[in-house]
Amino acid sequence: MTESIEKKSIIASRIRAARKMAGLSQIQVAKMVGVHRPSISEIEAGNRNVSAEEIAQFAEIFDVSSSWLIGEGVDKVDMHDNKIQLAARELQKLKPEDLDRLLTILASMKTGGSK
Amino acid sequence: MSNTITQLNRNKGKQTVPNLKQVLAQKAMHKSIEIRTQFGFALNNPICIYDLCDKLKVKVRFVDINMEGMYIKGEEPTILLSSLRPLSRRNFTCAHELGHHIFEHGSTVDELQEGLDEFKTFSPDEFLVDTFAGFLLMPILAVRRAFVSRSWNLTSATPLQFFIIACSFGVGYETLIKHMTYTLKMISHSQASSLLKSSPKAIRKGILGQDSTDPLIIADLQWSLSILDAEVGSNLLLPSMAESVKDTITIQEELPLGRLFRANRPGLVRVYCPDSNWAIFVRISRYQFAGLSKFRHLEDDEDE
Repeated sequence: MTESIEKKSIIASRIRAARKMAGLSQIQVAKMVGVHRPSISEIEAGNRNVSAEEIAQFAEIFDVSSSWLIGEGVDKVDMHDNKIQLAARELQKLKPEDLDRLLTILASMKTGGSK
Repeated sequence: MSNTITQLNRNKGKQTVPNLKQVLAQKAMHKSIEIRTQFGFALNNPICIYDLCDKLKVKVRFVDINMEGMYIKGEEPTILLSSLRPLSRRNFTCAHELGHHIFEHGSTVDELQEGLDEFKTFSPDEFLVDTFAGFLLMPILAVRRAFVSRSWNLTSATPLQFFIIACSFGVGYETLIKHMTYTLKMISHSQASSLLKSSPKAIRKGILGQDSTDPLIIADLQWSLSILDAEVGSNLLLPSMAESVKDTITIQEELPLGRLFRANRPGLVRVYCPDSNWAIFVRISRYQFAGLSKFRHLEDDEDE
């Protein structure tokens, strides 16, 4: 896989993940950005290039950082990163798979992950 | 974490836990009044906690993670709530996590782990925000008004009446009773213990005439908010003349206490009584909706 194809695939998968984490369907997103649903589907499949403006728009709608959407930053944050400040009474009790999902959410957020 | 813990450390040996609890409860009450007043929420009415979070610019995100909730401090403060918990529990947890924001709590994971070792049995910060959540959602004036407006006597009110009032505050039956007993001291321990012998499940059975594991929300004629939040699959018991303008919720049955509706699909629907001024907006979210709070009531479209 060339670097650009790999990058496109990361962007596609992060857009899909961010949409799901926002609780939106493809058609809801399509309506919000003013395109037809197949366009969103193509973007998420990595078959269509995404402009910088579209990335900014997706980041705004999904409430994630633009840089995370374009594949910068880590997939999951390091829990012991001192930049992350939490009030979390149950952290110790989380199952490994739940902790994994939490770390992904944190990585995507403007607060928790990259800006 | 924090100022409270620092203060507790300083006072170790001087302050007993009951005394400290009293001090923290006072602090929680004053702060809840200050926040309600500052953001234009009357002290004698229930609130929608998510509306308050919006006003405070605290983002709320529901996640399908098996926990209660979490507060993430930062430039864009965020509350994570588990979508796997009942709605009433999510409301209370949201108020609890908002308390962490208001009191500026937030520690690194390493500090949290140290804190856990130090305060295995009692965490002042957790007590503070839990009490804050109770006062914020159920101020004494609002609780008193809820009983008075229905002409119900506090000391002789039935489990069903407490259940209806818990619904009006968007909290659980036990949460209301415990708050009124231990924090507001409006009812005695013996009354609380007697009320707690009736489970929400048994109360639901008494209303519906059959067992049901589905959530039941009752909004009577004294319902004082303009909105009611529920999720797909919930039963809603509304006044007997209530009509819905769309099939987002549909009539299931006429019951002695009112008209039973079922929430069918996500969306916003106006429900009104043609014979009175009673009208509310019912907001339905997907069952166990995971996503941003602001999208929770969007209508579903055919997709994928």
